[in-house]
Amino acid sequence: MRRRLEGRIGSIGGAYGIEALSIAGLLVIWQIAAQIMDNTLLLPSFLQVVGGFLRQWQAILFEDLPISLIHFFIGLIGGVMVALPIGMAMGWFKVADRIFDPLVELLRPIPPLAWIPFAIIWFGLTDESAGFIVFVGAVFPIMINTYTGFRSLPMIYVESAKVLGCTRDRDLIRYVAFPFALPSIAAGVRIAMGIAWMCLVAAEMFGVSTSGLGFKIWHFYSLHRMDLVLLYMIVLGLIGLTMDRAFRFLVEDRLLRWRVGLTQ
Amino acid sequence: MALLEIVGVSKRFIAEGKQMEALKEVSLSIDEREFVCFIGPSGCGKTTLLRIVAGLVEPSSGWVSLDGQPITGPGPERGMVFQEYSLFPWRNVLENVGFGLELKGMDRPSREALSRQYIEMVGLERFEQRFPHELSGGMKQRVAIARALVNEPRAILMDEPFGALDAQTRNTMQTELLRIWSDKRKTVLFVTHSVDEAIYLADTIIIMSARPGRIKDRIEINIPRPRVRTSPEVNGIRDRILQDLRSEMED
Ligand SMILES: Nc1ncnc2c1ncn2[C@@H]1O[C@H](COP(=O)(O)OP(=O)(O)OP(=O)(O)O)[C@@H](O)[C@H]1O
Ligand SMILES: [Mg+2]
Repeated sequence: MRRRLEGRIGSIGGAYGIEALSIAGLLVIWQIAAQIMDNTLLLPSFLQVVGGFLRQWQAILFEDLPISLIHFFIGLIGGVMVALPIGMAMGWFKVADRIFDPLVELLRPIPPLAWIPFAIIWFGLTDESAGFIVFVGAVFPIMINTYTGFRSLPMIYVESAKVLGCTRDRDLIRYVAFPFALPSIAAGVRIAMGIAWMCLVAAEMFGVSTSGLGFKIWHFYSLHRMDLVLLYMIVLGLIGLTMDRAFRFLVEDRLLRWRVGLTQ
Repeated sequence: MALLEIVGVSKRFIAEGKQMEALKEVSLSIDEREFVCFIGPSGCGKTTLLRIVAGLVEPSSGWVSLDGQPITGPGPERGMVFQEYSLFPWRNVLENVGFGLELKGMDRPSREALSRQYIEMVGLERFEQRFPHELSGGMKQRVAIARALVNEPRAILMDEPFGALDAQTRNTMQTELLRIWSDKRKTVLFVTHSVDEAIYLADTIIIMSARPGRIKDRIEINIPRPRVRTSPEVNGIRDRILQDLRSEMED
């Protein structure tokens, strides 16, 4: 009986029939609840948010999103550029580990948002300032995953490389340690992307920037336009989800196909 | 002059605060194109000896030389096939085999062409795009052999390369290894636990004793190949080796 039901529902919506129904269900309940409450401040309705989107989509797409993406990528790329060399050096050279480890352990527990005042003092209300907060959020997960990736390299790969003529540190890092650590580094970047996205919104909200998706949430809150606040929340969530999926598709599924054998 | 000279090699390890002698004054000359098998009880230092020849471990005293040149570290002129699977999991078969050539700076087309020759030699031409996790144990060791041979080493060191394989696959691999060896005429140092394997393959069998690890006996085998695993001569040599190993256990 249950199987027949599932089969029928499945055939209505194709491969993702049940998932689609689940989301549609949430939207319907939300709309009904909002109409019953009848209070735009407490809970704007689904249709109000859709209406907001229809009026606001050009601003989102052509003004807020580009600004936020600039903040995001300044921080993320900066994070990769700083974290990779340091994490690799720490993972490969004992001395580098001893030099950087105490510094990392001291700086890492400071929440990224605690840097906001200094970001403003150092960079002013600029894109770099918001990018810096994103950077602080992104740099440590990438660094630590690079480090652990290097550290978990089995000796057998190093030794086989050596007897094949790969004996210099530079070559061993490039041809053995780095490719081995790549899945771990990619996982670090993915975690960093999630944290960076959170830091971005907070940084823009706290006035490090005067534009961007996070800034607009705060802006519309002060205007008590809760329908637009909710709209921007949803947009932030969807873009975060899209970036995560895109990363998984582009990097983890394609570049790291060999890893299948290790995780099974 | 011999290709490979092992002269008075000793190796001491410190384990749990105590010194233990893994190898004691091992001396041995190995000729060009010679197929040498090492056999002996577990822990007698066979792997350690091979690793010293490979340059992965330094002897506590003594030295090893190749063509009169003392060995100071690992190098592509001594290829090694490890007991455990050692293929790079992030490289497919073709890229694994081409690794040494890539390091020498050979361009992609030439190194792929050359790698393919060796992949064909070990009978894996249909699998060159596969990743190591998509291969069976026997296939992995074939790739490891091809990967070592493509560097044209002077000597190839094999540490129980077929130890993890079933008897059937193992026999096939032995026959193929002999075919490759008679084709390429490389010097081979081959560690095994199997007396039958040693007799089937070797020109010279080195029997080692444990604690401390040293050479106990040396047997030259002059039976022409391919050898029949159950012929009377083979049986005679097997008896002698088993006797050696048994007296070793009683000590
Ligand atoms: N890195 C090391 N540190 C301490 N002791 C070691 C080390 N490597 C080997 N040994 C010891 O040296 C001895 C010889 O080891 P080795 O691996 O060479 O033996 P083996 O003959 O290859 O044994 P098996 O047949 O089981 O492979 C063993 O007692 C081992 O515990
Ligand atoms: Mg061993």
